[in-house]
Amino acid sequence: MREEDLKALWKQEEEHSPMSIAQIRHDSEAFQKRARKGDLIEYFACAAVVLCSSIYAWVLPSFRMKLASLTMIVATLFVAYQLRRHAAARALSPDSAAASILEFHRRELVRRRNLLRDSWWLFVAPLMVAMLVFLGCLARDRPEARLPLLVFCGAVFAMGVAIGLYNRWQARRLQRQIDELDSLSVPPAIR
Amino acid sequence: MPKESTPDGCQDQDAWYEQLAREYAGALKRVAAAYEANAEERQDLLQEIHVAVWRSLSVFRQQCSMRTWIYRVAHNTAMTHITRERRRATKRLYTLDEVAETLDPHDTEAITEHKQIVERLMELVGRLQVLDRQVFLLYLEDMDAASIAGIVGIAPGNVATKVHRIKALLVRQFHVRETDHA
Repeated sequence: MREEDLKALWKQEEEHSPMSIAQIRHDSEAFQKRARKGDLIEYFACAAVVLCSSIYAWVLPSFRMKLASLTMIVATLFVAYQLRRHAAARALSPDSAAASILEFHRRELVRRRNLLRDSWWLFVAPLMVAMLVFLGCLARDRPEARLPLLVFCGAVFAMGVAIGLYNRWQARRLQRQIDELDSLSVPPAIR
Repeated sequence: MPKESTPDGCQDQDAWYEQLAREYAGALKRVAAAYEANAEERQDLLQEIHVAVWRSLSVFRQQCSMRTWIYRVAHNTAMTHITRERRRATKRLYTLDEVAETLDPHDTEAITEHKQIVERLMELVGRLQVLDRQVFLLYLEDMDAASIAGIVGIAPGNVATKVHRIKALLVRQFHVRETDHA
């Protein structure tokens, strides 16, 4: 088989009817809605934590526990804000969609690397600290449950550290991919 | 090869899109097919690509040729799609150098059916890492190294190296003879 025959085979067109403009407009809105739905799930989870912590702050008699619940609310609101700022699903903007493929790919890798690199401070640490404060206050109010609470604190801490280490490893992996892309790109002088 | 179109100041975005959608229907469909094996998901991706092309026309100021623009939008949209999908299914992707080792060279010798050849090509393309896949697809669309470099954004020398590897792969897998242009 000749090279041009293979290309001709590849390009052999099946019947295809283009989409109507009405369909395009409808789909454009549907895609945006679908992207927003993913964000909503995270916001609902944050809202559930805020609601539970508010109930605790209201019904628990101890001042310490009220303060611990408020710490949890502040930490959750901070994380929700960071999610909105950094990780919210956004539709592909027309400008970025038409960037060169390499540039687009690199931009996306850099965004994901930064998110992974900073995720410990933005998401994990605030929730972990709030959880440890909550458990610490609970342990002071209920001395009989100190041991299991201490074990739970240790598990929360270990999980936070494990997430942080995993994200840093992933960020380094993405950095290697970015470096590979940089070695392929056109030098700025002739771009 | 679809003919080039330029925007007419009076032409509205919808009419312009309709014209381009007719010209590039086949090419866009092949991009979607090369990125998504599942038929239902492929249809969704194709729609997503068409929507992205339509939306992008509002910011097209002849920064590059229309053909380059359309292919960039299509590939970038497809790439966003597979990035999203790969979070769900972790499938290993290979470089052009590695992929040859993952395929059995003997099982393509008996292929005579055109449909089988295209399916085999799709399978091969689907195993490639993103940039190699894009260069491969644009090569199959019969583009030269300069056009591929313009769309993908990598140096022409790197494109030439990749095209050389693609040709070697096609010789191995499909017993393709290079066209003599002399």
